[in-house]
Amino acid sequence: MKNRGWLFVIPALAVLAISAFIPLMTVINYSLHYIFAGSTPTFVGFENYVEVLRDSAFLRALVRQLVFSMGILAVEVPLGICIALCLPKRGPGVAVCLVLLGIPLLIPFNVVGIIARVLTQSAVGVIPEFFALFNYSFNVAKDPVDAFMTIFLLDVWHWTPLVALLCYAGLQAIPDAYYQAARIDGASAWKTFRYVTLPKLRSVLIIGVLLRFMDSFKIYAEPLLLTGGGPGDATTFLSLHVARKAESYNLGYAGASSFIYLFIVIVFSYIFFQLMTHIGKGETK
Amino acid sequence: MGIGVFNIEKSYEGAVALNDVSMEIEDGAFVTLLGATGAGKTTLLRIMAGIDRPDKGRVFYDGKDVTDVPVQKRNISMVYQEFVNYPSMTIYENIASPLRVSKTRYSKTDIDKQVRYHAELLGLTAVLNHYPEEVSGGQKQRTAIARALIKDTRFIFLDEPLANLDYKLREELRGELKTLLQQKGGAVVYATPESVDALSMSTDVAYFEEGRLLQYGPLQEVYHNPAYVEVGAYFSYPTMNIMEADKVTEQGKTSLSISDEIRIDVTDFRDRLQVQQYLVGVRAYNLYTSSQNGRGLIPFTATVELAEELGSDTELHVRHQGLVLVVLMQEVARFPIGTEITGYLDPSRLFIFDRETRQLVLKTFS
Repeated sequence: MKNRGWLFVIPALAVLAISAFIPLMTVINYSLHYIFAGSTPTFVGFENYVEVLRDSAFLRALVRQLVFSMGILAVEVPLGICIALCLPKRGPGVAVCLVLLGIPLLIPFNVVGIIARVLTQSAVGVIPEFFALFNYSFNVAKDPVDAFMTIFLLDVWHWTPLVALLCYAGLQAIPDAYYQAARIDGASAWKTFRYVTLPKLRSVLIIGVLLRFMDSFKIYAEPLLLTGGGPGDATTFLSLHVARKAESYNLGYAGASSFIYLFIVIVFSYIFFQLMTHIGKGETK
Repeated sequence: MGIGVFNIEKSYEGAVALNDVSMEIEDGAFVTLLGATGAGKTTLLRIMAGIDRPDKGRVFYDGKDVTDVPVQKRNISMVYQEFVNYPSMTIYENIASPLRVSKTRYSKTDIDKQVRYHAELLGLTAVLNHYPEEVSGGQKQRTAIARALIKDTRFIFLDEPLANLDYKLREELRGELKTLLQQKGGAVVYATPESVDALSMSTDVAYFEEGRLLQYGPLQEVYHNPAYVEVGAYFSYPTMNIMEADKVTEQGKTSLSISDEIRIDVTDFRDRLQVQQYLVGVRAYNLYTSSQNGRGLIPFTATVELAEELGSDTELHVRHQGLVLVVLMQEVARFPIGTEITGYLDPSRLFIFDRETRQLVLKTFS
C-alpha cells in the first residue's frame, strides 16, 4: 500500500461502517420491501414511501416535530445567550455557575422523563397542585396542551444549559478591545451586542443550533415515559412514531419513515448551516 | 491646548500600575509611551483615553477636566494591538461606522467621499467590499487605523498597533503612520515597547518603568541625555552597554576603574564626580575591534561569545572579565566563538550615571 495513512483511518472507518453505514443500508433495504413480522420480504419499490407520505399519523407527527423543534430553537438559543451574558466573567462565582448549569446535562433522558412523570402526576405531583391554586386543572394524561408544554419545558430545562455553556465559552474568547472600541464609537448596548457579540458568537451559535435541532428530533424517552406519546397522539413525535411502527413489526414502513426522517434532519440542518454561515454577510464570494 | 494628566495613580488588585504620573502633551505632538511590558504605559493610555478611571489624579483635555467624562463622550479614537473591526460589516462599512454613529449628521455622499479618501490613503480601495475575515492582518489593522482617522477627533491613542504584524508590514506601516497621523493635527499618543517605533515616529518620548514615569521630553533630548541609567539602557538602538565603575584617585589624577584593563581618566570632570560608585554607559557602536588609528581609545582583551551578522553589520557579544559587552561593527566580520580579541573603548563617548541614584551625572561629550 502506497499511502500508509490509510492504516490509521481503517479503525475509524470500521467503527463508522458498523455504527452508521451498515444500519443505514439495512434501513434502505427494508424500506424497499414489504416485510411483516417474519414473512418473506417482497420487493415493492417505493410503495412504502408513498404509504408513509400518505399516512396522516406520520404527517401529524412530522408537523408536531417541526413545531417542537422550531420552538426549542426559538426559546433555547436566545435564552442560552441571555444566560451566558449574565454569568460572571471571572471570580469564584464562575465555577459555581458552571457546575449549576452543568447539572441538568448530566441527568439521563429516562430519568428526566420519570422526574417529569412524578412531578405532573395528578393527586401526587407538585405541578397539578400548584395549578390547582389558580383553579386550573392541570392533567398531562388528559390535556394535549399540558402534555406538549410539559415535554417542551422539560427540554428547555434540560438543554438550554448546553447552549449557555457554548455561548459562555464563545463570549470569553472575545477580546475586551472589541467592546472598548464599540464604546469609543459611542455604540449603544444593543448595537454592541448586534455588531460585536453576535457576529463573534457566530461559530458557536452554528454548533449550538445544529446540535439542538438534531437532538430535538431524537426526543423519545421523555414523551414515552410521561404519557406514552399521549394523550391521543399529542406528544407522539417523529422518532416515537417510527419506533412504534417498528415495534409492530411493520419493518418496511418503519424503514421508509426512518429514511424520510433522516432526510428531513439532513435537509434542515443544511439549510440552517447555510443560513447561519452567510447571514449578514451579503454576497461577496 | 492638548492633553494633561496630573498625579495619576492606579492599582489593579493591590498591584501598583501607575505611581504619581503627571505629563502634558501639546497639540501636534506625537508622544511615545515607552517601556517594557507591565511598565504602566498601556494603563496610562487607557486612563488618558477614558477607558479606565484613575484611582487618583485628574485628566484634562484642552484645559478642561474630563476625568469623569465617559469615553464615548470624549471624541477620541483608539487603535489596538488586536485588529479590532466589526466582523459582520464590510471594510467599507467598518471605515464608515464612526461617521454613521457620530452626533454630527453626515450625508451619504459625504460619508462615501470620506471613506474612499481614507481607503485610498491606506491602500484599502481594492478590498472595500470584503469582510474583515477575508483580508490580511495588515489590511485589518489598516482598516482599524482608517476608522481612527476618519473620525473627527483631536486625540488619537494607539496601543502597540504594530505588535501583531510581521516585520515587513511593520516597517511599512511605521513609515506611513507618522505622516498620516501628523496630517491630522491634534495629539497622538502611542504606547509601545519598541525603541525603534519611538525613534522613527515620535516627537516626544516618555519612558516608564514599574509604574513610574522616569523621563519625558523631546525625542532627541531623551535619547541623547537619558536621565536615568534605565532609560539609557532601554532607549538605545543599538544597545547601550552598562558597566560598574569605581572612582580612584592617585597622583592627582581621577579615574573610573571598570576592570584592571579599563581605567578611564576623568580628571577633567572630577568636580562633578562626588560619589565613589558609578555606572558607565557606552553605546555598542562606540566599542571597536581595531584601534581606529590611535584616537586615544582604551584597549581591553575579550573573548567572543556570539557573533550575529545583521545584514551589513555584525553584532559581537564579547566577555571581558565577567562583563558581557555588545560591540556593533559596521561591517561583515566572521569571528568564531571563543576567539580572543582586543576591544577598544572610546572614552570620549561615555555616559556616567550615579550607581546609587541611577541618575545621569555627566557625559564625556556634548
